[in-house]
Amino acid sequence: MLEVTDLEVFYGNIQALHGISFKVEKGETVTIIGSNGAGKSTTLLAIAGLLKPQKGEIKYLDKHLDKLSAYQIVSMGISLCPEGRRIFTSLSVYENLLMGAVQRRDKKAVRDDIHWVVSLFPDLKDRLEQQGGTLSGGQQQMLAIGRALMSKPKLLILDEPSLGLSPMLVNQIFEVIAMLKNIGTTVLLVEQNARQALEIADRGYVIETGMITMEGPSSVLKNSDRVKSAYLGG
Amino acid sequence: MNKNKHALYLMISMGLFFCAVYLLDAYGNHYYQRVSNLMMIYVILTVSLNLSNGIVGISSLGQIGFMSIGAYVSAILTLPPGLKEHWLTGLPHWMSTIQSGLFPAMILAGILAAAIAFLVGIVILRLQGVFAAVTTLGFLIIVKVVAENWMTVTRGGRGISSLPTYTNLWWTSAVAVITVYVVLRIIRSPYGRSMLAVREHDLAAQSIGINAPRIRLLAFVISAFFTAVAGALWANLIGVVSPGSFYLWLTLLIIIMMVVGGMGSVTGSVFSAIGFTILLELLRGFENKIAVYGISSIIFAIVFMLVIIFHPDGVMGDREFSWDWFKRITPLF
Amino acid sequence: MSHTAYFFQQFINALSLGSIYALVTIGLAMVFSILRLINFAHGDLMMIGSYSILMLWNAGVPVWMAILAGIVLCGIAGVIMERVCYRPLRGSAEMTTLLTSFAVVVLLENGVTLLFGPNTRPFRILNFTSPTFSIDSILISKIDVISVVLTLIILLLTTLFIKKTTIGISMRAVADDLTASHLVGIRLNRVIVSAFFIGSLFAGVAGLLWSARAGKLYPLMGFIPVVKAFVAAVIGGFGSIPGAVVGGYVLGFAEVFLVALLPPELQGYRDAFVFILLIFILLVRPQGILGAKTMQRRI
Repeated sequence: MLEVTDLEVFYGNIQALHGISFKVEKGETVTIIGSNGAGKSTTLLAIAGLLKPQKGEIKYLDKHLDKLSAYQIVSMGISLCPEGRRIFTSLSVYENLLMGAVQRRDKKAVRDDIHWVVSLFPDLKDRLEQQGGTLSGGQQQMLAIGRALMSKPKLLILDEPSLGLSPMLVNQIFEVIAMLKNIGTTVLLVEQNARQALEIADRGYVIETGMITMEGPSSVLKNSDRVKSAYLGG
Repeated sequence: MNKNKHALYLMISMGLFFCAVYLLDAYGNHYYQRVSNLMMIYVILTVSLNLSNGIVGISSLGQIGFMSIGAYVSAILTLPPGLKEHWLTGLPHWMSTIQSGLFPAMILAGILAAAIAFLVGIVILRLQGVFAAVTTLGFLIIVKVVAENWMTVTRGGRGISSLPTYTNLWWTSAVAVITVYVVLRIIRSPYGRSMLAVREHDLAAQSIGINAPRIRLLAFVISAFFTAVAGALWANLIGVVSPGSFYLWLTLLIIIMMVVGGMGSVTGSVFSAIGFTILLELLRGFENKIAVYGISSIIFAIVFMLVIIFHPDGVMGDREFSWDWFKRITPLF
Repeated sequence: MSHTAYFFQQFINALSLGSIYALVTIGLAMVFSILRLINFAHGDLMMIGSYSILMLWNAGVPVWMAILAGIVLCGIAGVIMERVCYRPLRGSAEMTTLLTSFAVVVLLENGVTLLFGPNTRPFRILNFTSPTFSIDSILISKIDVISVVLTLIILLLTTLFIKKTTIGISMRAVADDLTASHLVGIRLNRVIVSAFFIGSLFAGVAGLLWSARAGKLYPLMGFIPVVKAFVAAVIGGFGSIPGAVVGGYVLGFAEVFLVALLPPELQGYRDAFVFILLIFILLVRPQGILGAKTMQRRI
């Protein structure tokens, strides 16, 4: 479904990605794990069309994404829930969700989907008219995921959804991811929380200083000594 | 070795420059003298603007306000006493009986503008870019409104005419050379290096102990001083000052000259001011021929937009002219 | 005239002037909140609108048609301005676009001067300034009534637009977080073009009211209003639309009552006082009078 080959991205003179390759098949849940600054977010921003890669290619359903604008990529069915949530703080929760569906024309179905998102995250239920900025960190993360779902993506990309959340909220987020997986959504999950990410994913990649250093089925990665010592705390 | 050579080149070119000034002043026709004077005045204005806007990065749109102040101060000081008593009834008695020469008028114009710049500077240095820009534009409007309304001192919208035309090429070229010299010295001083640092990273500069606001204020005040001196020269060149002369068009003109020459490059400003003065005169000649006025402003505005879109660093960026450039052209150097 | 009557006369004056400022400021603030661009040429759209209306009317077009066409032309001119002058500079530094808008001012003003001459022309459409009714020696002219009512209708529609329509919510989203707007798939160009179109329509209306009030128009007529609209925007805390409206009215009232209080020989200085007010506000409350954190809000 998504195939990234030899991706290289520079910020000015600094090379952030040194040839990244990976793929996500339809219906799969794939995780990319790695520490801070390894190049995870850069990879995702390049897929979403916000960064232009200097080399390499990004193919999605056999089409090249590299030359497309961000909104065209969204319209092809890719939705990125960015690191740090980036919800619209001055818009209400309801308006945030509407903006997630900004390209859709089926107004009625959009309203149904807002109900669906609220059923996934009951915390948001009584807060639809509240301003996004007044939500707690966990609620903002739920809103961010909900907003990303509103475009009815074929491929959902989550960038560090568990960052800065309490263990209980992390569990709640992962339950939703598991549920999305069960209903057949293709998910690309980027995480520092390697343990839970590998628990839920079918396959995984390890990224270090802008390069993919390991890949394989989650069960294999989980038991590899290198992953254990570097990402699972021994 | 190289340094001595460059000093020699500099002396030769200065010598040639003042020979040209002498010849033009003594034998040139009136039109060429006038254009050359304007050219030197634009050099002073552009280099001064570059000091505040280009080198220390203050977003000022109000520099022409200082020029206006300078021009009016000089006009009031140099107007013959008879006319002063007649027109400018609001002046104190001692002022309406004296008539000053160009030099004291110039210096007083510069000092007054510098003092006002100090006050304005304290305000705008606390503001972010665009807010500083509009505030200084507000300053320009305030100056114009005062000039239009203070009938007993500025003669309002009619302006002050019949000024003695003291300004000649010696004055304008000497002030231009001094301005360039002073600004280059500032850039090359330890102070100046920190100024460039200020422009790049205000916070970073502060963290390594450079007092950014003070340096920027100083640059702003010096810039206002020379801008006002240029205004004094302008007043005594044209012989008339009126509020409308120092407004949007001149503001845009010197911005164009600075941006095209390269923000941060003093020599870029010099070449650019010279080039645009010639271009402006050619266009004016063309306008007179076809008797359609305003085309030059339109062309200037379009040129500016094209440069800013396709070559935003201007011709020279923030580099300076160097004799070494000739090395590539001819082995003689 | 009694003191109370005088006060009410000035009150109506201020309301009418404040309405015009509010209209200009909304357009300025809309574009600023999305692009961080201070479009000085916004005032020239007022001028373009007024000239279009006058020229169409002179050419024999019925008055209401001329007004409508002039305002729509204004909207189109705003869209063209964005496409030609500002889109190529997308992503440049704020100062670059600000200086460009300054060049656009000089360009348009000289262009209009070239076409129609530098002189002030009378603008006496519909006898707008004639008094329509008077209460207890207070004269209320048509233009005052029209300014206030029209502005209130426009403000109501704008609020609905911003709150209820997809493109209106998108505008607020883009102003809030540009990156996130890209990620959810908002088409930035559509939002920007809409903001320019709507803001320019308002500028057209403001231009009509302004020239009708003054009874004249001239190529440079839009410059002072736009710089004053900036002052109004600062008063309201830059970037928000309600702030722009309040700022516009506050400025209208401040200006009218300042002039009423000044001795006659100082009245020529009113614009100077407005900008001294700007400097004062920026010194005391750089975030504006209403704005709490709008200044930090960047896109």
